[in-house]
Amino acid sequence: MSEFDFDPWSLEPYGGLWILLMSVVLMVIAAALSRMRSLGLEKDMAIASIRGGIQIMAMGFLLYALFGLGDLLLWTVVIAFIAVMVVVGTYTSARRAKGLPDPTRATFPALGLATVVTLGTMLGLQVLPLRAEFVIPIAGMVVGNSMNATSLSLNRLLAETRGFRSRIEARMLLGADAETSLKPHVRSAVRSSLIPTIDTLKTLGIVFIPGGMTGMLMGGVDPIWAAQYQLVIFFMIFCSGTIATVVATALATKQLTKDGVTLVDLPDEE
Amino acid sequence: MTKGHVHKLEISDLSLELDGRTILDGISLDIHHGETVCILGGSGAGKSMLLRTIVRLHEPTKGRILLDGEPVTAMDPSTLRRRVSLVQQSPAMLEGTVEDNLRFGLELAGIEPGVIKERIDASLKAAALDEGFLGRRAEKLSGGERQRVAIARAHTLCPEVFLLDEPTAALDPRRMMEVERAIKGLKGDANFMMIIVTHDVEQARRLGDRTVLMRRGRIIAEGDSGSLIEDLDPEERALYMGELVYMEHEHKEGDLNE
Ligand SMILES: Nc1ncnc2c1ncn2[C@@H]1O[C@H](COP(=O)(O)OP(=O)(O)O)[C@@H](O)[C@H]1O
Ligand SMILES: [Mg+2]
Repeated sequence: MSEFDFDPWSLEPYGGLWILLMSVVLMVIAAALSRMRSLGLEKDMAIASIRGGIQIMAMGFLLYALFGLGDLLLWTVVIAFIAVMVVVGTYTSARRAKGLPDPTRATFPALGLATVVTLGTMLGLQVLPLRAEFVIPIAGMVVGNSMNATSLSLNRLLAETRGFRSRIEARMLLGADAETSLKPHVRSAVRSSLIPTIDTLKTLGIVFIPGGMTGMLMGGVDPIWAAQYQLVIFFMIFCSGTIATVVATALATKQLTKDGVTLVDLPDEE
Repeated sequence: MTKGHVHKLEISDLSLELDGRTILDGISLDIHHGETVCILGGSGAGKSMLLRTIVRLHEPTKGRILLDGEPVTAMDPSTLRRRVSLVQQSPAMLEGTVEDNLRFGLELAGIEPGVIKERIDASLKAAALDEGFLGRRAEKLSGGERQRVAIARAHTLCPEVFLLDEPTAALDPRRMMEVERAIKGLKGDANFMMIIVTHDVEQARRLGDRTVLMRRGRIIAEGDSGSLIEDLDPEERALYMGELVYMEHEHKEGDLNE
């Protein structure tokens, strides 16, 4: 590995600026294909690349500055960082739950609890070291995946509540309370949102080597330890996804039923 | 098998507003034990919403609904819906077989397994269905069969009041007679109180003791099922008959949406 110097400002082959410039080739190929097949994606691709590029670079600079800070300040910033992730996730998921009277009241507790519980236990059990360069990226993966799972589950729950309204009411009319009447739909919402994670876990190491592990391998870490850590990360993702979707759908269920008596009217899907 | 019965259902000055629109407007109606009241009215008159409000699928904006003097809004919704059973317009089947549909309410109510079987048999009979239906997938049944399964399903809980919303809409005459037979079966089997929403004057005459005519959320006439329509002044009558024709069109096209 020593032939690479990992200098971010180097324009020599394998240097930071060099790899950025050269890899644009790939986006150019994608854009050219899009043009040839009239997919109309070129503009979106360009915007997404620039936007994503700026964001990830900003994150890089921020972390660079962060790792140089003193302890107290460092942890204040780390916690603020995770809080921002949770808040952004809260609003992103809430947008997928339009129609709920108060979507952030479901997504915030879901993401907050999922993040605190999984990070907390792993820190407490001395699996995750109390070091910013571990905590921040892993928190990012936990929040990001919980956010996706939460969005999927709420979206599905609302779609089913719309689509199966008369069946849900039929259960209520047979003496089931509102929560029991929604239960089969809550179940399918949670299950369907966790299936992608389960499938990823099943094919781990065969179909793909996840980004985190790729990074560790490139950083020169012992591949066995990298594999062990990757598994830990997946367990965290799985656990936080389950907590987040269970909490989000439970809180959404409360909002979908007025005092457990009637089902709220959902506006039509746009 | 009935637990007791309601002596009187009292609806007084009931109004319902949704999204700023008046859906029900000062409905007052008293129904007594053993009576069957039919509600006639054009499409959009508020007939379904009235039945739905009685079982608290909507919360009234104004007015009261009393079951033997007790406001339904003070009752536990599950208890209320077991005592007052609504069979919705084009009722939805639950997942699984007809038997699953009939079991659902009984198991929730914590009825013993031995009794469940008895109740299911009795309810099948009441709804003019034979045992062969039990294993059929509910969602695959025809409109008339679904309607009878829904009636049987409601019957399992031995309700004291039956609310039937257009039980024979969109059925051909033979299926209609089958469902009517099921309804008569209910009446014979116990001394229910029943409200039947229909758009068929003849059906109201066949099934109802009393008929109420609704338009735009209000009750505009009330009287003997045999003579109500004839007793209306000619203008009202023409208007009502006109609405019926309009409504029947709606039903042919719109029934699957419900
Ligand atoms: N969930 C709802 N929210 C708002 N308005 C409704 C809702 N359901 C029905 N309505 C309106 O209430 C009125 C009465 O409807 P309904 O009781 O279904 O009429 P019908 O007499 O044909 O059964 C109609 O104007 C209908 O558009
Ligand atoms: Mg109706």
